[in-house]
Amino acid sequence: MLSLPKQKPTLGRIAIIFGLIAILVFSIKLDGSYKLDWNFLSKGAKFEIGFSLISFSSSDTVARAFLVGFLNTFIITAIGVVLSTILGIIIAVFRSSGSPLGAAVSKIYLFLVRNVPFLIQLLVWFAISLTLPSPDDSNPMFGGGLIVTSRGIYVPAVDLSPAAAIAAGLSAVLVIVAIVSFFKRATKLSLVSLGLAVAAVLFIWLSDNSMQVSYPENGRFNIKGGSRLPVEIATLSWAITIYYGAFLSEIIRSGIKSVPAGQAEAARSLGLRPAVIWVKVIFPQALRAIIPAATSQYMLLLKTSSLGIAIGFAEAMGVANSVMTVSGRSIEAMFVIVAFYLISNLVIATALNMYNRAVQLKGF
Amino acid sequence: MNFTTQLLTPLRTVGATMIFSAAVGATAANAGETYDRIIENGEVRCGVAAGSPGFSIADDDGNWSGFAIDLCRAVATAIFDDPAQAKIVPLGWQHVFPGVQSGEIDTSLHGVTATVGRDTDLGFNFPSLYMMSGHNFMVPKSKGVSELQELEGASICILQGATVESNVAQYFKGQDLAYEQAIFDNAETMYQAYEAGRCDAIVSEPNDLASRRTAFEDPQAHVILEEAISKEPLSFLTAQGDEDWNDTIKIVFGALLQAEEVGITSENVAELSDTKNYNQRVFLGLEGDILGERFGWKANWAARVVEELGNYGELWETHLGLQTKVALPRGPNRLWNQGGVLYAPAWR
Repeated sequence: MLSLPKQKPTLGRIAIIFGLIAILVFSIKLDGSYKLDWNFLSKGAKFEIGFSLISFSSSDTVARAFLVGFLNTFIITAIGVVLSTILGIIIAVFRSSGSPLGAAVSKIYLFLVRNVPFLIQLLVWFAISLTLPSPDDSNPMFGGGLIVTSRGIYVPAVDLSPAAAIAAGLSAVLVIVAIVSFFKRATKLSLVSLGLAVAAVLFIWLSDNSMQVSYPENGRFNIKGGSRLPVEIATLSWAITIYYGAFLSEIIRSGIKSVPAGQAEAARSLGLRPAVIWVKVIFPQALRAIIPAATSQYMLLLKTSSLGIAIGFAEAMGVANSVMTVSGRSIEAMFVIVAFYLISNLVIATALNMYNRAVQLKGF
Repeated sequence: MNFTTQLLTPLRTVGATMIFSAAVGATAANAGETYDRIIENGEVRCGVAAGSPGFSIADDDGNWSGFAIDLCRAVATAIFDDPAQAKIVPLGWQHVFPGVQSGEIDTSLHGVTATVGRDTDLGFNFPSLYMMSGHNFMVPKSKGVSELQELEGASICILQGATVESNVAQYFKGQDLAYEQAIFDNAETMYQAYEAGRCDAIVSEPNDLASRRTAFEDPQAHVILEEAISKEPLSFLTAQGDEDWNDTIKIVFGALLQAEEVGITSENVAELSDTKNYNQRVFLGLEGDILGERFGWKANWAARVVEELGNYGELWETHLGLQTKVALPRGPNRLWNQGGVLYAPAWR
């Protein structure tokens, strides 16, 4: 086997990329009808953003608006990467399992999803989401606990103090640690973390007696109360998962195929169960073929999230468009957004390249 | 790779890109020669909205009709004496500004609001206001909303890329009302979402709301609220730097208003060749200076425009009048001497 060439993007390459962009930017006519002006970043945004992880209103700065957009892109990318990988693994295992039904289902799925442009698929899912009832026509399910509308899914929300919220997050993490360590037969660690999780929950219970649970209710226009999973995030994540799940499944399947058949046969002759064969023998070796191709799919996924504006979701590109129209600074805003996508994709590529090198066979 | 190759490869890339971008920079159009380009091409290219009933809509055979289409044809008739020399280019909203800046279209009749910022900072000109509009809200009648104040907490559909976004944000902030925003970059998707109930209200120019409403399943179930939140002078959009082209638009559009003012319509223009009315004679090119002579237009270009297309009032009646599906009242879009804001330059 040949040794892999170094894949780190060097600082020199990054500098050249920015230099090229700067040349293109400054070769645009700037002789009086358009002057570059970066002060717009500290001026008021003068527009609202539909969904934001941090607080944002139209009087906040343009820079903060960009930050909201970047965070929204990251949310979609994170959800999309995780879910599409899981879906890809499932479909790949279906096709590799030798079951004719599994093969037929995945072939139809791949044929449809890979051949239709993503924007059209996104608009189809959006049109389907519009058939959900509007808030006036929707009935609370599970005794007022859940309302499903064309604007989003509403669940009851608990108002927690910041300390209690942190404790809640901590206890969730501890429960996960307890479960994982139980499977790995580290019983002591499992018991300790379970005990800590219970203690954290008790702490919340005792310290925050006035826990307010707000149930979603029909208001005049919207559902009031509760917390909402916006329909845009749900639809966009769903569409991205379905779309990239298809491409990733083929990549994963080719990675699985690249593992010599003798490996699985040897594992079976040793008496290992199928689940163990998959997890301990096949996947680790398949990863070496999967990661390089999957890296570019993840980078594409990040860029595809920019189509969210077609269904009403303001992520980085959507915010940039709003900034361009409201402030008129199209060249500067373009520069910001190009830098954002470049840096984000470089980070993904670098991280995955490091992981790639970590799973390579040493000494080959 | 040896050291020399490693050094030279990026330099070669940089050099190639510099040459490329210099070429790009040289052709980035200033559109200073728009009028010359129109004469050379033999056609006037106008950017319009793709499917706006009453303004710019194509039938199944691809024939365009509408208020904006006829304005473009008026300019073509004045320059070339043939309304068919108007080339209609349907555009998405986000392509209007780059299209005009790059010279791909000569003017845009997309319903662009003349703002100070666009005129001064962005290198555009707005030679003629063709419709005074605003931003109004449309809500389903079932919501029982009669005033904008009642829209607190509502979910509002907004089209990105226009002044609407900031107008709505400023208005609600000024009134200290909260609202939820659903923003779209495509008008068709936005109206589809509003009709399906994704938002409680939708905001746009009243002409746009009225014409899109005609395509709804139940147009009567939606009401356009009277209260507008801004003034939107809709105007021809051109790139800065070509005075000939700007003058052309000003004069040709002015002719449509002047015709209505002096009482010339497409029906009576043929019979008025022996009129004694001085203003009518000047308009028809029978007396006084030939206006537009410097451009080489025919002496009766104004009469030809009215003959082919009608005056402003007729255009309104045909495409937007109360007997059409759009049914848009003229409101401020009447002549100055009838209580509106439209007027032609003094015709001499």
